[in-house]
Amino acid sequence: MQAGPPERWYACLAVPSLALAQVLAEQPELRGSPLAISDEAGVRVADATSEATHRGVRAGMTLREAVALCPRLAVLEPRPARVRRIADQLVEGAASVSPLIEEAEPGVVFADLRGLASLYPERGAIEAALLASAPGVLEPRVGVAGERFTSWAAARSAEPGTWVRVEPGQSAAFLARRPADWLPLDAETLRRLRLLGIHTVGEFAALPGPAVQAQFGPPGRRAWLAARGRDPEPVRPRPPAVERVVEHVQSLPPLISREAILLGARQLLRRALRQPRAVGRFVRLVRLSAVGEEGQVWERLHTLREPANDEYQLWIIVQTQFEYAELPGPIAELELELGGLTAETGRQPGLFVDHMRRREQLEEMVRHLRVRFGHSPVAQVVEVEPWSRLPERRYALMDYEP
Amino acid sequence: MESTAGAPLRAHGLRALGQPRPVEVALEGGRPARVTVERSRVARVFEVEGVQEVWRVAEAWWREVPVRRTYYQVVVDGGRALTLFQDEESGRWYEQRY
Repeated sequence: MQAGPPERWYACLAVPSLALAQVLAEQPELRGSPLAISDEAGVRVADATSEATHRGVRAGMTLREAVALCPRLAVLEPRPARVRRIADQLVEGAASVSPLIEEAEPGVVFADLRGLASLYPERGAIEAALLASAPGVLEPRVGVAGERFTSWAAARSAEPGTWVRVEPGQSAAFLARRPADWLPLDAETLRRLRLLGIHTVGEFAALPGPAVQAQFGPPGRRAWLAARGRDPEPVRPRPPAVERVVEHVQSLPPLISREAILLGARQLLRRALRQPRAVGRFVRLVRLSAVGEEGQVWERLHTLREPANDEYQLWIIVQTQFEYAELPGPIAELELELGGLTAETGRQPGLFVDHMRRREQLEEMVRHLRVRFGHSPVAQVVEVEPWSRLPERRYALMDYEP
Repeated sequence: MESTAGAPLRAHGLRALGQPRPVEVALEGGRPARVTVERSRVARVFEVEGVQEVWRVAEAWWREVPVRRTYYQVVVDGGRALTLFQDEESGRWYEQRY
């Protein structure tokens, strides 16, 4: 690193093909085999692994074409809710390193590193911190440079789990060898560049600026500047995050009955309220989402007129949302978010309530057991589908949460 | 258990009670004649003395793998009653616990 930090200094934390990275993180046995993810309509390829692209599979082609090119291709359904969750993890991780961050797309997070030199004085420390902020199993990459586009290209050039830094003044030379497809231009413009015989960023940068602007307009001008290592685009930090807690469960086999779904939701609510960030805070909004076994997403947002932190009051809201919901079939995943957490308010509970005392004692007992065994060994029997003709669906054991 | 006999109902802390246990059943005349139950790695063989009741359960027919079972309430030697079923999708036998 040079003696003093440059005026602008950006980092890009990237997980290429986030949806595929998520699948491979959850099912590592699929690594090395040709994989593709379909679009939400289940008609075209949305993304494919390098094993599949080597056999000619490309994003945008129909699944039928893809399977004809690569008979061993495994096509997976998109899981947008899960990908969104992982993308949020990346954003939150990057936010723990720099307060000025922008999510350009799921799996690509930019950070403005101004003012962080004294926190991370050693060379490579900030890159290492950003890498460590993301789940290693996703094989994140980090690029650092004086411009936004260069930092993205650096991240894209990095090997999985590593970082690349482009020193000030080196951007143009670094970018020159990169493919022109990386330029921040729309697909049609990129196609025109290919027709014009422009295959690298360097070739694009060598074009006369006025001619580029005349041909491709303001976006072309911006891309031309970016290609010359003078990207004018800043990182646009997101507004301060509204405080929230999120809990989710996956269920295999998927939950079919409303009762089972409600049980899962009740457990989510209890877990969410137990999170340290939520303790003693009041909730302003409740977001519920459910993902069907085919990947269909159902989502509801409820804004409370008056912030609440009473479990029963919040449960009534959750229960009502599910009772009137038209769910997309069997539910494989449930998520609950309690948002807009406010500071503690001055609500005074009753002083002489017996059941409160009993509850405290029970809570204390479970806490002791948790310390002793590492988890609460106390469970309660709950009715799931007491009318079911399949005995194993009638009752279940649920972790006892006082 | 829904699509596959023996698969757990699980949503983190949610654990189904009364999961069926796999058993081996020898048939005679299409009906259970001998049941081998393995518990704690010890196999016990029971001779079936009588079949008290037979019934079928078909559910979740709209799913890719529906639930289709034939249940047998049998009495084995020693007078003990067992509820067995054959999963018609997989052909495997299970002891149903309540």
